[in-house]
Amino acid sequence: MGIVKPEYHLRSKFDLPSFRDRMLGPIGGRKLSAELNLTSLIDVFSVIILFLVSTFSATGQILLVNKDIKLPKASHGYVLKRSPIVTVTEKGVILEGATVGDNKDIEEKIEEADWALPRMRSQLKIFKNFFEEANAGVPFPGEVIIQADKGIEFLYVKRVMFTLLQEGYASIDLVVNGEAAYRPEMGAESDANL
Amino acid sequence: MARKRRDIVDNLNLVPFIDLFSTLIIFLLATAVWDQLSAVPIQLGSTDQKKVEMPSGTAAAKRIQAELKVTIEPTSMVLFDKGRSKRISREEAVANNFEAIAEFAKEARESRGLDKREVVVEVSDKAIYEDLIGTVDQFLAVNFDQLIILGAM
Repeated sequence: MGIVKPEYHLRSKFDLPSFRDRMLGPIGGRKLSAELNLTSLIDVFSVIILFLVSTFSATGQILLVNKDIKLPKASHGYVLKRSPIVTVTEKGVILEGATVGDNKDIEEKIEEADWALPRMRSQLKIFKNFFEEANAGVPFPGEVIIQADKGIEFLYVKRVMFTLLQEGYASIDLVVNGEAAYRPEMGAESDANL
Repeated sequence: MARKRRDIVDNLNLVPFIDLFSTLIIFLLATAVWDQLSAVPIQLGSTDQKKVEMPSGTAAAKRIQAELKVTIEPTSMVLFDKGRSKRISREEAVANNFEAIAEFAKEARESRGLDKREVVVEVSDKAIYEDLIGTVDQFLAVNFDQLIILGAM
């Protein structure tokens, strides 16, 4: 038996050239419609756009949550304002993306007379000076954002708070997971609901 | 001579429409904010590693005026109002989403006509951060929105 040239393994009835010939052929041929039905595609697109527009936030994302952190949940939070961001983990302390402290052996450090984080203090001082130079005459608000893991012991956060307080940062926003229930100007309005 | 009839195009050209939709979807997806984050505002009192010291400034003044106080410990939390106190175990508090705290604060406000919004929250070193947030969240729910945090050993 000689060598056989490979051909369609499907029956000719089902392969594409035969199908095309059958559809367009002179005997019993039908007009081939090549138009896609786009109605369902547009329906899906419309739904996606409506959803995305309804969840669109003009302010954007104020902070990126550290991958090592699982934020606690709260349902009566306020809208986040832009301030310096401090991230507290069991490993260390990060201020605006730069590591400014190490939390190793924190339990021993607590016995020390001053357990403030020196690098964090100097960085906070720079932020404070910058604010005062840029906003002459405006009182320094001392605002800062803290994000910490929900399972962390308060000791880690306390050390950061202690450092913050030494540099005059006393107004703190603790980042939580959950949609903001209040805006600062809603205070009086929400009183009436009580 | 008969006029030649032109075919009526009865279908809309949807291609530009789909182009616009695709562009919009890409833009909205790229700028979407998926994390719903908010902030729980607090004021710092003293977080001295030794037992609480009276700090100077506004927070100290508020601390004196505050009539409600809560102490958060690793296994429980104790609520203080003038002349009464209530201890809630951590398990109980977590099980009902810290709502017992809001109830206590609401009772304090209603029974004595409290118009102040300050609460002192004293937190022990070993307390879990989630408990602090849960407590503060419940005070915010009943409009005690000036929360002064004190650290204690």
